[in-house]
Amino acid sequence: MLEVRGLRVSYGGLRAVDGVSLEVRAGEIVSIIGMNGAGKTSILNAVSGIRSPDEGEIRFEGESIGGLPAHAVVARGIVQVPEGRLLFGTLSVEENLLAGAHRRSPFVLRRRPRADLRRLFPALADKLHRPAASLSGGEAQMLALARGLESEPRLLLLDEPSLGLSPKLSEGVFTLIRRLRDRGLTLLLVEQNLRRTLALADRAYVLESGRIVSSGSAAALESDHRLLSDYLGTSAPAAFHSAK
Amino acid sequence: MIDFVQNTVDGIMFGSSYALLAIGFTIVFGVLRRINLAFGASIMLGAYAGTWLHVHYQVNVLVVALTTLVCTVLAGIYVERLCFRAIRRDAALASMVSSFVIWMQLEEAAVHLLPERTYAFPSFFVAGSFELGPFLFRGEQTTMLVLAALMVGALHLLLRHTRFGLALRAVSESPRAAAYMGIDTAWVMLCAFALVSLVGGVAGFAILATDEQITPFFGLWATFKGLIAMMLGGMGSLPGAVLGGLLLGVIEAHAQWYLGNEYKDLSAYLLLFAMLVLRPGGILGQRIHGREALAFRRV
Repeated sequence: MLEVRGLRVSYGGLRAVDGVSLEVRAGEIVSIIGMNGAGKTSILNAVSGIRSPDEGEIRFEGESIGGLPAHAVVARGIVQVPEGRLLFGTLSVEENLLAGAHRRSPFVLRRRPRADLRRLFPALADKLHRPAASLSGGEAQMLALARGLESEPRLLLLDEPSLGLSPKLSEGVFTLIRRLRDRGLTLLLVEQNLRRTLALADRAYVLESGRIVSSGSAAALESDHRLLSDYLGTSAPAAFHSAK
Repeated sequence: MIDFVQNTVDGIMFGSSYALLAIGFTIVFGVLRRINLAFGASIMLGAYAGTWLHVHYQVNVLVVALTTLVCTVLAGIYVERLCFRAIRRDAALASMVSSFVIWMQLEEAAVHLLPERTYAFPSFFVAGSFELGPFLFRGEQTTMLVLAALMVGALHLLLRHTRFGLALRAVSESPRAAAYMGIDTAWVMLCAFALVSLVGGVAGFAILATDEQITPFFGLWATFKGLIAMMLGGMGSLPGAVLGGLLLGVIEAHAQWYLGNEYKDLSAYLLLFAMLVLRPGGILGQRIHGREALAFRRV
C-alpha cells in the first residue's frame, strides 16, 4: 500500500532521515520505533506532505506522492494524527470533527447526528458543543483520532498517540487502534511505549539516527533483547528483562 | 438630549463603515498574525479605478461600484502574493514592512491614474432621508448602515456555516494542524485576502459615495480608521471589530458636535490612547487572548 524508498529529510543542513526504506501492506499495523530524535516524526511528516523530502520515493497504491502538498496527500487517503494532537482549541468538538472532514464536506456544512462517533468515542458524543480546549488529555487524544478518521482515510499515520496519557487511558487508545484495524484501516504507528507497540503491531522498523537498523515481525523483534537494549537504551522493558 | 441621541445615531451609522474596515484588518490578523498595512491603499486603488471610469467615461454609479470592488480584490490578491505568501510566517516584521512599501506603491499608482487633488465620486442612495420622531435619518448613511449590516451578517454565516469559513477559522487557530487535516492553507489565506478586500471595497465605496469625493489621502485615512477601530475592539476579534468601529463612529460624532470639527480625529486618537492604557487588549481582545492562552496550554 505504502512504499518508501531511500527517503532523506533534513532540517537546515541537519539530516533527520537518512536513506530510509519501508513498506506498509494493506490491513497491517506497522510501527516505527526508536529513541527521541531518531527521525520517526520526520518520516511521517514526509509521507503526509507536511515536510517535502530531499530525496527518495514515496508511493501510495502505486502512485508517487513524494513532495505533494499535505492537502493533496489527504485527498489520496492518508491522514496523520500529529504528535501533541494539535486540536483547534477554541473551536468546538464538533467543529474539530467538521474540520477533519474538510476534504469531503459540501460547501454548506452539515451538522449531522453522529451514531458512529457514539460507538467508537462515547466520551466525545456528549461534548460536541464544548470547546476542544476544555477536554481532558484522554478525551483530547480521542478527539484527535476521531478528527483524523473524519476524512475517511485508508492509511492512518499515528504519531505518539499515548504520549502524556495515563496507563489506563493509553490502554483505551491501543484498544481503539486494534478496533480500527479490524474495521479494515491500515496504520503506520510511531510510539514510545515499546512493549505495547510490539504487542499491537504486525511488523516494526527500528530507527536510529535516521537509519533503519533492524526490521521484521513484531514478535521477532520483541525476542531480540540485545537489539532493543542497544538501540533503545535502558528504558526499554526488554532491556530491563535481559538485565535481570 | 435629542442632540445626544441624534449624534449617537449618526455615529453608529458612519461607524458601521469603520467596522467593515476593522473587519478587514482583523481577519487578516487572525489568519496570519500579521497586519496588512497595504489594506487601505488597496481600497484606494480600487476606488480610483472606479473614479477613473466615472471621470473619463461618465459610467453609471453601479459600474463604479463594481469596478471598485473588483479592483480592490485584485489589489488585495496582489498584496497577498507579494508581501505575505512570499515571506514566511515567522518573519512577521518583514512582511509588515513590505506591506508598508506596497502601500506607497499602490498609492502612487492611484495618483498616476488620476493626478488632480480631488475628484467627484458618484453618490449612491437606496434609502431616502426620513424622519422618525425628532430624529433625522440621512439616506446615504442609512444605506451605509444597511450595507454594513448585510456584510457582517453574510460574513457571520460564511464563517460559521460553510466549509471555507471553518477552514479559515481552523487556519487562524493553527495553520499546521489545518494542513494535517488536508486544508489547503495557502489557498485559504489567498481567499481570506480576497474576502477582506471585498469587504473593504464595500466600505470604501459606501464612505466615498457618502462624501461624494475622493482624494489621495483616502488610503491613509482608511488605514487609520480601520486600525484604530480594530485596536479598540480587540485585535483578531470579529465582534470586537464591529464594536470598535461603532464606538469610534459614536465618539467622533459627539466630538464633532460638542467640540468642533477639528477635534473629531483628535478624539479618536485620545480614545485609542485611553484604551491602550486601561485595557491594552481592546474591548474584546483580552477575552480572546485569554481563551487562546488557555487553548494553547490545554491542547
